[in-house]
Formats: sequence, structure tokens, C-alpha cells
Amino acid sequence: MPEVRALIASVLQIQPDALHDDDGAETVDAWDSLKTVMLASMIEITYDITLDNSDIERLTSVRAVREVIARHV
Amino acid sequence: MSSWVAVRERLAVARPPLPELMACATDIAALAAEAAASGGTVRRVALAADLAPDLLRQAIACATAQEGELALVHAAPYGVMRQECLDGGSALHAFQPEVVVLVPDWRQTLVPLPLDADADAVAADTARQVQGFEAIWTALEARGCRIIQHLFVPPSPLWRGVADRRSPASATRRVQALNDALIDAGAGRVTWLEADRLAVGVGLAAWSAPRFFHAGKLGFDPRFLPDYLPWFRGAWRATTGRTRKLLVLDLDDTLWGGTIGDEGPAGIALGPAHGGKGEAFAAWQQHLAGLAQRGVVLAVCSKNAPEIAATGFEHADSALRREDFAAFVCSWDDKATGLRRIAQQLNLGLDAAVFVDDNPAERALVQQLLPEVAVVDIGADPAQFIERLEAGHWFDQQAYTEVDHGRQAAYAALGQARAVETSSADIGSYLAGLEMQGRAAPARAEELPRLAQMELKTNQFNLTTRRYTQAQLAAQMQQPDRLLLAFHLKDRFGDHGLVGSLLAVREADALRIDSWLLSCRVFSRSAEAFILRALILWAREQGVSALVGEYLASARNPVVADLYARLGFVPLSADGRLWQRSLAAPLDDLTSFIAEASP
Repeated sequence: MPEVRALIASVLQIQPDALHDDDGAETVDAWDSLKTVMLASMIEITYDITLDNSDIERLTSVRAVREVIARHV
Repeated sequence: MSSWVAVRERLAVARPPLPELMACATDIAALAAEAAASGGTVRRVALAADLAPDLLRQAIACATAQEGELALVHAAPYGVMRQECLDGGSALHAFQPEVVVLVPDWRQTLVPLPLDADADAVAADTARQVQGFEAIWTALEARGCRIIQHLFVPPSPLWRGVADRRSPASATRRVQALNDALIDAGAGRVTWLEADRLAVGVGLAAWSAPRFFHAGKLGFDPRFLPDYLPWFRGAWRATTGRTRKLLVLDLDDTLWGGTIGDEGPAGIALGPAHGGKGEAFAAWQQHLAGLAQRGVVLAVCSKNAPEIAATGFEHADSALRREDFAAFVCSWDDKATGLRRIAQQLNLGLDAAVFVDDNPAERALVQQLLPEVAVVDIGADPAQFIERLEAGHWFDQQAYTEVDHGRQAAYAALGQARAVETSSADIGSYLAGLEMQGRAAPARAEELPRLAQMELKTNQFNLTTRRYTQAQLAAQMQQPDRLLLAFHLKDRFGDHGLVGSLLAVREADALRIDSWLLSCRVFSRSAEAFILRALILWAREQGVSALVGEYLASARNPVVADLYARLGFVPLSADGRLWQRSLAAPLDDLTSFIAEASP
């Protein structure tokens, strides 16, 4: 199971080290709405879960991604 | 940023995962922009879609790269597909695409009709929709664009089950009617991508994924993006006139189970007498015969003796006949050489060929030496062969023609009229790339069952066909004047295990090779030279002065009739039975690409 930051970084195509827990769509240019949807799909595939529509829309920060995953697994 | 070569290598796998597709698409976009700016060759593709186009844009860039072409892909904003195509001043036309991909969605297309609308009212609406698309096609054709269009994916849920299926006004029925009418109207104008069959194949409900539609106006779940690539590639080949025409097949364990050279036509697994496996091979052959009837040219490329190989097609359960194959190359040459001969005989380019072989080493050789050939990994289960071949959509086309129905016969005639010379390929670099490791050592007691099995099963590379039993082999192992060598081989694809044996007998001051076997799986890999070196080194230690090789011809072993000549022996008798090699002679001529395995 990849570390959450590594998973996000792979979708955003940036180095995992460049990503901090406080980061999100507002601080990382690559984190656009398409990447948010791709991230949702990657989370579903990686953790074998199905996200709610509201979960997908919340995936705009490292912290929120952790929370969404924690709620499902 | 990866180079073009590196990107293509990353995409040269059966199903590149989603993040890999995204990363490659980013690199391709940069490479294509750079090439376009510097006047290089790029394909200009525009995508116009009713829903969010970004994922498809990435997939299209990757799929064209898999087809060997660098594409600059422009995506029109979603929801304005019709306007972008009809308006000559749009950004889409400013991009000057050569190919336009249209991706309409039923939600943006079907106008509401009363629930009880009758068939005539529905047909009138369908006709209006078709006219709308015809206007789009005309506008694109006027600017020289070729058109690929997705068929509509039907909605997943039905209202109230069968009742909705019976209602002409249901969305499901309307989508189906619209698809049928579009296919008719677009004949010769549009290359259709069967998105509906793709969606049904992965599961219509899973494909549709409303959570992604509501979150990002996506028409499908992104996890299926990798599944889209082969469908797009099929449409791309059709629209650029590069549909594959030629299917080249191996024989043993590809068209039937087992090795015909060893087991004979009665022993191969084909037909219901051989259980599920035999039935699966028969069904696979029927599928291939169906492809041939529909214009796909079939050829055989096999390491076998041609007359023995042909007996497989006299089998009662063989749906294919020898004459179904336009070219029939059976030889001990490597498969790249065989494929070149087939293409030359049939006057077809290698880029028209699809190659199917159960052996991963053969596939790797062809992939390396002939990258233009599409190499298909059909796996090891014959029940999955059809699905795994057709997953590539290699032979998809838009309509049958009379030529298709007669093509197979025409090529078969051409193939028989021509005879061409064998050319040699750069086999050395291939063999080196296999990273083979071998071990030829005195046999151990626990290896006796396998050695005895090989005595029974090996017919082709069997120099004397003496068929020693396990007890006889065990007795010979105990005798000090005899050496029984067991040969093991592994390569980067896996461990082949015990695949060869050699029995040598000391007679006065000479050592005679009494029996020598090699499994046909590892023919043409320089194993002979490797084993012979080991034998010579042992013989020198024993103080013998000469090495004698023995060959007894059988119906099945002509492949090794010249083995001793190839290995530097000179004939001792005119009948070709006994051969001799000096033990003092240097070993330079015994080139082998097999490294000594650590014990």
C-alpha cells in the first residue's frame, strides 16, 4: 500500500518530498480539478473502495485525502 | 521529460496503469509541441466531446504513441462539440486537425419525448439526430478532416425493466436505434469506435459511474481508461488505412496442445476427446477459420519439419486445413527470419502482421528484431486465446468487402507460387539478451524419472532414438566407463529445468556419444555447443584421444542429421552414422550464448 503522499504525488506528477501535509489545490499548481478526479479514481483502485460523490469533491488537500481514506478503510 | 523512445517503451505493455498513462501523456504533449514548433512530423488530432474530454485526450495521445505516431491532441471545451465542428472560425478548425474524434453523450443528445411516443415519432427524432451529425461530418470533410466517432453508450438503468425495453421512447431503445442509423448513414465517411461494446464489456453500470459524472462531468469511471486504448488503436488503424491483415501463428501449444513432432497427430490435444483443453483448442481454431473467411490472411511460422507439421491439419477435429494458410514456414530458423520470409512471399509489409506464439522467448525475439510486428501474448490457457487475441482489435474494420471474402484464397495461391531464400537475422544479440544460464553435469539419481520421460517423448532432437528405460539409465549411471550428462537451462523468462541429456560410452581410447536428446523448447539456442564443450572437457580429463558421435536416422529426427557436421565433426563412415572430432582441437568454433550456471 503506497503512502498517501506518494500516491497523491504520483497523480500530480510531482516529487513526494515536495508535498507537505498542509498542501492542497490552493498551494500546488498541478492540483487542478482533473487531477482531483484522477486522484479519486486512484484511491478507489488502490484501496479497493468506492468513494461518495462528496468525498471526491473534498479531495483538495493532503489532510482531506487522509481523512477520506481513513473513513473508508 | 522522457524521450520518445522511452515513452514508447513505457507504453509497450499490455495494459499501462492509469498514473503511467497520465505521465506518458504529459511527456507526449511536450514532445509533440516541441516537434510541431520545429517543423517535425506530428499527427494533429482534435477531440470534440459532449462531456469532459481531458482523460480521453490523454488516452488518445498514448494510443497513437503505441501505434508509433506522435500526436498533438487538441481538446475542444466540453459541451460545444457541434458548434466547434460547424463553425469554420472555431479554435478546433484553427488547430487544423487531420483527424477529429467525436464523442457525443446521450444525455446531451436525446431530446425528451412523451413516454408514450410511438415508433414513428421516435424514428422521426432519430432521423433528425442523424441529419445533425451529417451536417457535422460534411463540415469536417470540407476541411479535409478524417472522422472517428464514438457510438453512443446506452444509459445503465432501465425504468421498470422489460416494460422500458418494449417502449420505443425509452432511452435505451432510442440510443440503440440512433447507433444503428448512424452506422448506416456514416458508411464510408466515419470510422466508428464501439464505445457501447467497450462499456458493456467492462460492465455498463461500472463504466457509467454517476459519482464521476456528477463530480467532474466524466462519462465513465477513469479506472477503465487503460481499456479504452486498444479500441482507439483499432479505430486509428482503420482511419489511417493501416488495419492488420496477416495473422502468423505458431503450431505446438498454439493451434493444438502438445508437440506434434513428438506426440504425432493422434497425441496432440485437439477436440472433445481431449477434454476441456481439446475443446478449447478446437473452438480457437474455429475462430481463426472465421477470421480467414472474413479476409484475414493466415500463415504458420513454426519450428517443425513441414511434412510432420502438416499432419496436424489432417486431424478430424481441426477446423483449419493446410490450404487455409497462405504461407507455411516450418524450419529451424529463428522466428524473425520466418516472419520476414512470410511477408516477402505474400508481398505484405511486416506492419500488417500480428504474431501469436505461446513461447515468450519467441515473442521477445520478434518484438526485438521486428518492432513493426504486433506481438500478442495469448497466455497459456486455450480457453482464453480468442479473448486475448481479440482484445487488441487488430482486425477490426468498418465493413466487409468482396475482396475480404476472396483474399485468403488469393494469398494462398500467391504463397504457393513463390519460393524465397532464407535470410539470416541478427540472432546473436537476441540469444545474448536471453541471459541464459546452463548446467551440464553428471546425472543424479533423482533426475532419472525426468530423463526416462525424455527418452520416451523426444523424437526430433534425438540422435539415436534408443529409448532407454529408467532402469537401463540407472544401470548405466553406475558403470565407470559411461557418463550420463543432464542439462539444465534457465533464461530471463524462467527456468526450463532438465531439458537435455547425453550418454557417452568409453570404447578403447575413444569416447562415443551413444545418445543425445534436447527438448524442442530449447532448440536453436546454442545448447548443443554448450553441452559438447562440457563433454570435451570431461573427456580430456579421462585421457581419451578421440570423440565419436553417432547418428541413427529416424522418421522424426532429420533436424539433427547435420548436427555433428555443424559441431566440427568429420564423417567416419559414408552412411553418415559415425562422426569424429579431435579432442585436442581448440573449442573456439563451439560458440554458445549460455553462461555456466553457478552450482
